[in-house]
Amino acid sequence: MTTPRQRPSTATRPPRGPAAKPRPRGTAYVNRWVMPLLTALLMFGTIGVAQVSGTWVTSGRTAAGAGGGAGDGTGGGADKSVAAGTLTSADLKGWMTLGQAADGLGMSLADLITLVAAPAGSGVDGSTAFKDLEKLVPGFSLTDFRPKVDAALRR
Amino acid sequence: MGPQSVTRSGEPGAKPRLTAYQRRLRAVTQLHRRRHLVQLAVVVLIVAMAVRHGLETEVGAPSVDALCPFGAVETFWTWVTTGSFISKIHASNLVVGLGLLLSVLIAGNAFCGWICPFGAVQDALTWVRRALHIPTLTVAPRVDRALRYGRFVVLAIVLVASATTLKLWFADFDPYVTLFGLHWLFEPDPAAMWIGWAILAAVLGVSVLVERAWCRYLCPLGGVLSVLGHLSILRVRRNPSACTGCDLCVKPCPVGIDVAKPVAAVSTDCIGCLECVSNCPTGGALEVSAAAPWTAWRKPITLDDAGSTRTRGPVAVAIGRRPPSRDASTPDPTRQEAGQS
Ligand code: SF4
Ligand code: SF4
Repeated sequence: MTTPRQRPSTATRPPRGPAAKPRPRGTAYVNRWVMPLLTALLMFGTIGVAQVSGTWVTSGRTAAGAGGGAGDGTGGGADKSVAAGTLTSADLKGWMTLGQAADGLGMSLADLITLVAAPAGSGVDGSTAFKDLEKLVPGFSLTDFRPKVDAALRR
Repeated sequence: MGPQSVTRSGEPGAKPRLTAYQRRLRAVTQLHRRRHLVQLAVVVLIVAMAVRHGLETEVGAPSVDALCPFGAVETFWTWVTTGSFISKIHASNLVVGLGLLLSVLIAGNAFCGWICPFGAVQDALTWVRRALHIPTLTVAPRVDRALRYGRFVVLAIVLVASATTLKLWFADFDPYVTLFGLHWLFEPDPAAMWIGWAILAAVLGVSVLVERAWCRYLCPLGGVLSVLGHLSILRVRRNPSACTGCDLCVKPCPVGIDVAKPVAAVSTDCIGCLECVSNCPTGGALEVSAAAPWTAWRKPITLDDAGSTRTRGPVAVAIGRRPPSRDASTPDPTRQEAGQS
């Protein structure tokens, strides 16, 4: 991308090259390109090291006990079942299906679907993810849903 | 018509010797080409990630939230005190945050000038403004200085809100997430998103008139990086004994740093774009150099009775701060040297 301002001003052209001027003490000049190169290297290098060492986790799907091994970063837990009673309402995530949530919370799927209060014919079932509920159930919000789950679990 | 090149011997076919102006023009063009190419590559990468996440073609495709280094800042308190993350934040945020921390400590803050996608968008808007010959809005230095504290106000609000709600509170307002998250494309919800859209529109609008307005005045990550910049080893530094005071480095600075002025306090708002270095016509006056961070702390600029600088050490570039006022009758020696008054 070039800009109209790129052409340096010709207003003042001081003489070049006071190479003989003393370099400030305590400093060492480095090639200017080292700055961006080192920045990119350190940032992407850190990510690379994290990926190799298995600490590069980009999704909660592996962190909420949903089946994927911590650090696989693949979110493979989406297709897996959740051990009963391993989740609390705070662990519910948008990617989770109602079936997984019911398993993890230790409550029946029917009870959970009732709590969702889906309108008839909306097609909500155990394979529906919470994030899709926002489209299927008007006004649904996972944040507001959590206290309802807590209340149901206390009953 | 461009400046004529001069041949060494005047013979046809002899290697042309570039004038100082041509050398500078070549350096600036080369810098722009490289910098904007890197910025474009990162923007494409982030947009590709957001599309992948939006389409969910692959289970677990990371969202832009999971790739943002600011997420590490937002969750830091919760992570340290409880061992868990706030919502939508993952280990990847800590990894990217660590990478950014290392790069700033060692190589200075070139992240903002070269990598941040939202910085790239603002640079593109500046390009549009210049192409359309829209005049820039000049912010008075005092107002400019005051507005820059806005970054720390936003940072404080975000940190408190994130730690108390345990949510990625800022996501609904962050113009970076609003733009690059692509929710406006994959799941538009005007009722829920209008605040974010309004903020994004305002930020982009102001960025047309004031170069890098978001970075200068509001970006909380920029605020964090400007604090960390005090510890950077590599920085753009001025050599007062070589500088001729021509001020050619001042205008190109996208974040309005008064590059040519010797200052008492070090500015860390530099985004490492190297515009000033490429525009400097005087060898050795403005360079990237390595120095122990404390070198700058213990060598404040002082003026002697004649009004000249006594500092011999490296001088980091600074934001609009002037040295202690000179006697009006004492001319600026550096300007005299450059033939200015
Ligand atoms: S100040 Fe903020 S928006 Fe600007 S380039 Fe830096 S991180 Fe990006
Ligand atoms: S001081 Fe120089 S390198 Fe830093 S932001 Fe300004 S022009 Fe870019």
